[in-house]
Amino acid sequence: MSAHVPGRRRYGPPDGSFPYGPNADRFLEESPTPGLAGERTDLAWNRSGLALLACGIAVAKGLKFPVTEPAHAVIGVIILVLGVFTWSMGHWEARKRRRNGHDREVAGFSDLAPVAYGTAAVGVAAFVLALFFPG
Amino acid sequence: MADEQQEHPEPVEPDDYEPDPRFSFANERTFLAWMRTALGLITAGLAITQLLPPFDMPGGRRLIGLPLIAMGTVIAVVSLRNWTANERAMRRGLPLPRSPLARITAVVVTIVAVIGVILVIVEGRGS
Repeated sequence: MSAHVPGRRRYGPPDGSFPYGPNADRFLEESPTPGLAGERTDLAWNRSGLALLACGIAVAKGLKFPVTEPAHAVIGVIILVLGVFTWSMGHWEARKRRRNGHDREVAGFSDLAPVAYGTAAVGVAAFVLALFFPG
Repeated sequence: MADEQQEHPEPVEPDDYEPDPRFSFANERTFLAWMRTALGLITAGLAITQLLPPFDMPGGRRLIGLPLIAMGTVIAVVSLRNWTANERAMRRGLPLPRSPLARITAVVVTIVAVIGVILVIVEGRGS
């Protein structure tokens, strides 16, 4: 059981027990920083942004929709913009964490929601496209 | 401590506590991994319906492409809800909620794969 150090944010429920893993208390005491978990998360953001960029390029250059000629380009560019946004978001999160003493910063709902709803919107557009205009 | 204020998925209860940031990071990475899965399914569905030469069976490509795209769209929305639910559970010291998303994804992909195999076999007989 770890005693609360004044000035340090306290982790774990008020009774001092910690529900996630039997040795979490001791581990936290020995390892007060999140280590490389933040870096892994930055890399996950990077991968997600790159996946969107790759998808956007594939749609813009690879697909030939018979709808109207600029349709594939428009959708591709939208996905590309979403990719740039996701990549920038990850970059921003990483910068936020690299500041001194901010290595515990985690993303909030408003950081993740645009990525989720953007991807869902791409999915809906893809569904409509595939349903009514198969190549 | 103003700069330590986090954006909580729910208004903070008095007995909430700050979880170890590593758990929040892991939750965030899981969300991002689901996002990539969603995007992969949507891209695969698009490629199937737009780039694949048509099967003899009318609507064959859409039969396997549309479920993938729909699954990807559902994953994008549900994984955000899962992230919120996990974060909330961790802040309250509750067990992590179980999500049926992984099972549903496995079932849908399996069904699509089986339909794809049947389409390919039927196609092979026809020619």
